[in-house]
Amino acid sequence: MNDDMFKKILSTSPAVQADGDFRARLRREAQAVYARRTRALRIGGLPRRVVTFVPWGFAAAASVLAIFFHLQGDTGMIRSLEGATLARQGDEWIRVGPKDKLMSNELYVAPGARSEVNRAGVKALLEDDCHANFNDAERTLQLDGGVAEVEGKDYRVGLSNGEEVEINGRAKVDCRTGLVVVIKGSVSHNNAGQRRQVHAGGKVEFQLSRKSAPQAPLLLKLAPGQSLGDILTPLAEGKVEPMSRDGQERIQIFTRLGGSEQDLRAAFMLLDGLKDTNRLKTLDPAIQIYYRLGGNKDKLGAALNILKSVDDAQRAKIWQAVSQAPINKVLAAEQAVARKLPAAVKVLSSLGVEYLVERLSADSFQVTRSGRTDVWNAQTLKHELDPDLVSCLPPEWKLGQSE
Amino acid sequence: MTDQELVRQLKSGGPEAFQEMYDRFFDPLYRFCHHRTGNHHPDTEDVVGETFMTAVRKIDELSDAEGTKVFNWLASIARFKLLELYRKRNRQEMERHFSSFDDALEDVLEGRAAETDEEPEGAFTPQSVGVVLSSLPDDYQRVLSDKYLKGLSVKEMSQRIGKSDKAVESLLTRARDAFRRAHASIHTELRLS
Repeated sequence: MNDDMFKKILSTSPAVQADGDFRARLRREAQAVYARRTRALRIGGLPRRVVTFVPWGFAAAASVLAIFFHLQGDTGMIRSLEGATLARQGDEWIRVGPKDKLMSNELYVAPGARSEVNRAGVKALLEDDCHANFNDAERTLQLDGGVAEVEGKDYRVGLSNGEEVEINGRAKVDCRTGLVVVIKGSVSHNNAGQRRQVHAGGKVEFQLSRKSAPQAPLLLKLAPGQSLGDILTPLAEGKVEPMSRDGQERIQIFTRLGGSEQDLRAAFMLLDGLKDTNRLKTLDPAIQIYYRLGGNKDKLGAALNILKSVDDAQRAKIWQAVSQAPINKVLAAEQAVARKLPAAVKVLSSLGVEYLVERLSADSFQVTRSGRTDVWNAQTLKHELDPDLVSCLPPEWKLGQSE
Repeated sequence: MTDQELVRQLKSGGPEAFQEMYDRFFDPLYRFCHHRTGNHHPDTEDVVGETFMTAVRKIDELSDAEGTKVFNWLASIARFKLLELYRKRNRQEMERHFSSFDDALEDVLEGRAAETDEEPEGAFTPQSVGVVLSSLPDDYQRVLSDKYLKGLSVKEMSQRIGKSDKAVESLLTRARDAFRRAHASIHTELRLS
C-alpha cells in the first residue's frame, strides 16, 4: 500500500470531536472524585462507610424512588426561595427562579439568599454565600462557605474547612462557624482517626483554624487589590523559600486556584513578560475574573478581551467591582462585557437588580431593569439613574457632561 | 512523562497527574468509544464519562510495572461499559462483532497474529478505518494522523515529537504495518456498515 492509498483510506474516517461542554463537565466531575481520594490519602483517611441498619421498608421505598428519578432522567429541582441564586450550566452561570427545574450540579447562593434543592437521594436548603457542588453518583455534596441544611441517607457533605460528615437523617452544616447540628437521625465523622457518631440533638464543632484547602472551585481567595503576581512573583524570584510556611501558602493558593504545574509555568511566563504597565493593568483584573470564576483558559481569554475593549475609567470600575464584589457582581461584569461594551452597558446596582442601557439614537436610550423596559432621553436617564451608574456609561454618549 | 511515572503520580494523588491523564487520553478514548457506539455522540459521552469515573475510583488497581499502558487500561474499562451499553440497548449484533474483532485486534497489537504481507482485502469503510485507527497505540495514531491527515513531512513530525527523522520513519513504518495487519485480521469480522 503506498502513501497515496494510505492517505485515501485514512481520510475516509471522519474526524471525531467531543463536545467542549461535555469535556469540561467530565473533567470537573472526575477531578472532584480524584481530589476527594487525594484528600483521603493526605489525612490518612480510611473508607468512611458506616454500616447502618435500615428498615427494609425504608430501603425498598428509597430504591423505588431512586429508580423512578433515574428513569425520569431528573437531576432535581432548584428553587430560589429568596435572593439571588446562580446555577452552573456548562460554562455558563444562570439565575435560578422560584419554579425552576434545572439540571445543575453546581450552585451559588448569594449572601442573604436562600434556595432549596430537591434531587434523588438528597434535599438541601442552602443559604448565605454558599457554593455547593452536588455529585449524585458519589452521593456527596461539597460546600464552600454558607449554610446548608441537608437531608439524606448515607450522604456525605464536605465542609469548606476540608472536614467531611456523613449524614443519615437531617443536619444543618454551617461552614461559617464549623458547627454541624444534627436535627434528625445521626451524623458520623472522623475524629482523630476514630469514627464518631452523633445523634439527633447533638452537634459537632469543627475547628476552623485547622482548616485545610477546600476542594470546591474558588470564588475569592485573593484579597482586594491583590494580584496573582503579588503572590507568585516573590516565589518565582526566590525571595520566598518554597518550603517555608509562606511559600507553602503561596503554592497552596495557586493549587487551590485549580492550577497545574503547566499553568504555574504559564503564569510565571505571563508575569515575566508583563513589564509593560498597561498590559499589567489589563491582566491583573482579567486574572482576578478568571480565578474568581473558578475559570478556564477560555474565560481568561474572554476576560482579557473584555478589559481590552474598555477605556481606563471603565476598566478601573470593573477592576474595583471585581476586587470587592461578590461573585454574582463579577458575573454581571462579565456579562456586561459579553454584551459588547460600550454599545450597551449592563450594570448591577445592587444584588439582583440589573440595568441594561442601550443607546437607540443620540438622545434616546432604552433602559431595561427587572424585566421592565423604558425609553428615556438623556435628561431623564441622568435624572433617573444613580450618578455612579451614569458614570459607567460610555463617555462618547456624553452623559457625564454637566448641563 | 512515561506511563509508569504517570501511574505512580496518580496513585500518590498528585493534582498534575490527573490533568496529564485527562489531557492525554480524553481525545483518544473518545474516538475509541465513538466508533464503537456506531458514531452516536450521546452514547459515546455516557461511555467515556463512566469510563473516566471508574478509572479515577480504581486507580489503585492499576499496576505501575514496566509495560503498563494507561490507554490500554482505559480502553479495557471502556469495553466493559460498551458491552453494558449494547446489552442495555439490545444490540447483540454489535456486541458479537465488537467482541470478536477486539480480540483479533489485541492479538495483532500484541504480536500474536501471524505476520502477513498481503494487501488488506475488502472495502475500507469509515467505521472499519475508525475502529482500527482508534485501537492503535497512541504514538502510532499520532504519526499516521500527522502524516496522512495533516500532511506533515517527516522533518516536521520529528521536530514536533522530538525524535530523529530516522526514528520517526521507523515509527511510521511500524504504525502502517500495525494498521494494515489489524485491518486485515478484523476484515472478516466487519460487516457492520
